[in-house]
Amino acid sequence: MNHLPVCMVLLPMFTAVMCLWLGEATRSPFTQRWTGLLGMSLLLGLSVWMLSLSADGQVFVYRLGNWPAPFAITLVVDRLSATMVALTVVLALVVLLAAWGGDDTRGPYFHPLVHLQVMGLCGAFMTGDLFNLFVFFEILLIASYALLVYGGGPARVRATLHYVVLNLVGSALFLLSVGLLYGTLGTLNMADMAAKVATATSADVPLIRAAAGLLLVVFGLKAAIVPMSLWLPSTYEAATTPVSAFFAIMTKVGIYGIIRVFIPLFGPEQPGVGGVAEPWVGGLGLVTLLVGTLGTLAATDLKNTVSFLIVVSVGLQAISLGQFTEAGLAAAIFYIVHSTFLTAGLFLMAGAIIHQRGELGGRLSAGPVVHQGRALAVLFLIAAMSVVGLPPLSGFISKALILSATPSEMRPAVWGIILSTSFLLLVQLARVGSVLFWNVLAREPKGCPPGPNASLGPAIFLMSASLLIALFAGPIDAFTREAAASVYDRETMIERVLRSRSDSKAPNGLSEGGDARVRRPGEEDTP
Amino acid sequence: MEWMLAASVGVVASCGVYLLLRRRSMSVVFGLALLSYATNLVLFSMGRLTVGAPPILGPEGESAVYADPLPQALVLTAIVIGFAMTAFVVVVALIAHRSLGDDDVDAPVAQEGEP
Repeated sequence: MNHLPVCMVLLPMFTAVMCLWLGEATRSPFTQRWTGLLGMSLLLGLSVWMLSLSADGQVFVYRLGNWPAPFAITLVVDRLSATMVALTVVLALVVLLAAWGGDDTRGPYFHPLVHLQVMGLCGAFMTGDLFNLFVFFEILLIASYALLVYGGGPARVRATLHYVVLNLVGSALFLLSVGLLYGTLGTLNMADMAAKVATATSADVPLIRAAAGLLLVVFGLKAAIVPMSLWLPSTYEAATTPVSAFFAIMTKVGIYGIIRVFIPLFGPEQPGVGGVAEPWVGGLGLVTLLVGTLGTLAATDLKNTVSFLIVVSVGLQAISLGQFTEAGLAAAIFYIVHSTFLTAGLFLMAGAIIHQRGELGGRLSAGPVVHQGRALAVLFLIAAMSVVGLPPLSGFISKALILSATPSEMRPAVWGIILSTSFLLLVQLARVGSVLFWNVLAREPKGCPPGPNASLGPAIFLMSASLLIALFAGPIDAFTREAAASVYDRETMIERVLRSRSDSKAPNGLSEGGDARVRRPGEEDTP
Repeated sequence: MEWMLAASVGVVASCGVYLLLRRRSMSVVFGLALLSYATNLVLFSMGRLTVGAPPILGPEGESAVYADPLPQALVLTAIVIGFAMTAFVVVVALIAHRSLGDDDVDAPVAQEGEP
């Protein structure tokens, strides 16, 4: 058995502990930085290796403790999981480097927290067990609570309180639906659930549908789909710049949860329990897109503008995913890759601009001349073009993919809203850019710390990803289509995950199927 | 028995939601705790209600009465996570009370925090 998947969870945990231990022992940011960088680079190597293996069509099914599949925890890594893990690790590495400029010394534990969150994210993207998904959600959430309040200050504390309370309610609902699903289906393994959903008795179907609806609410809250998106702008605005950039991956966890649960488990073609999410995701995605665009138009602060752009990107992902077709899912995965780099880059760029403007901060009013103005202005231009979706950048290609994936009967509404919001975004970003770079007063900024900004380089790196995605759009598109096809291929996935039931013996001589409700008549259990 | 468990889950959950919707941050914390208790009770009852049954299959096989051990393990995990989260939210609420000077969850931020 290849131990690569579990390494993706263990290595960040190990690095986090090492960062803590060495940081405490030497009391210098230097040790933490290099330990963190080393651990994350190692993880990057592993994740790229895993991605290249799964791009060849290999699906890892890792059984913890080598227990046969529906028992204990299974990690399942296919193309989508490997892509999300690689995205997370690349982003985390960039964020760690962006924090080297001094953001990581505002508190003692920046590096361990980032590694713990990477551990939770990687686990959540790889697990094939619903309760384990809950546990990894909690790991990534508790790290994100601490990262959000990182740096201190009343605004951050207030945003953290709101974020923690909302997510604890979300966790309670998650647990409730996990319990209901176990009570009705008798299993928590997602592949096993997908197989058992079809044979659920008619008395259980309403309960399963209710549990699925609760799960949709939970994932919608994490993904910030309207009406559960109101927490996002103030939260992301309050966080320290590298943390906001890292949180660009957080909304994707919710979208990923919807993909994993509402396509193979409660997909449209499942008898009885199907069709829980279809009426909601696409329509709410359109509303999310509208709300995000209006928020961007109303924003008076640069970081607030960028936060609303995250809501816009969530809306586009939900629209594309909400069509529940293979083409729609492929376009959504492409958009996830594009928007993770872009929104993280936007936050780092906003951080660099705010840093240069001194005490004026991110307010959109006439200010001093921005240092490094030319580099930042070009960067802003590229970012704005990519957000709006002007050719030749990745934003154009990903939006075109979403538009072309729309079924023809929905085209008037979806195309109308996506194209008109793109125009509104173009207007607003042109306004923001001209205020920041042209509407300047001929004086030096007050309260501006000297020296170059550390987040400029990482921001340039993330923005250049937008160009690279556009250059290699063909291969990436082919890859995302394959990834989407493997998510939809329920039978193969069930067969892969549960295959061990017949060919491997349970440890300790235990027979399989200890629970009456786990077993279905007609299964080849040995008594 | 069953109606009692169902009713107590309902009462605890509704008290939790009521407290959650209040403005004082400590009420919200208590509301969260009650909500997680209700969730844990639901999770526990998902293994079906049995009295005095062992959590393991005896020699007579699956015809005997037994308690499903898995929901108990899940509840244990959920209690541990819930306990840690409650401790964390108490600390955040205390810090918020200290730095905002008010225990209202929507207390205005007096002066801009450092960028």
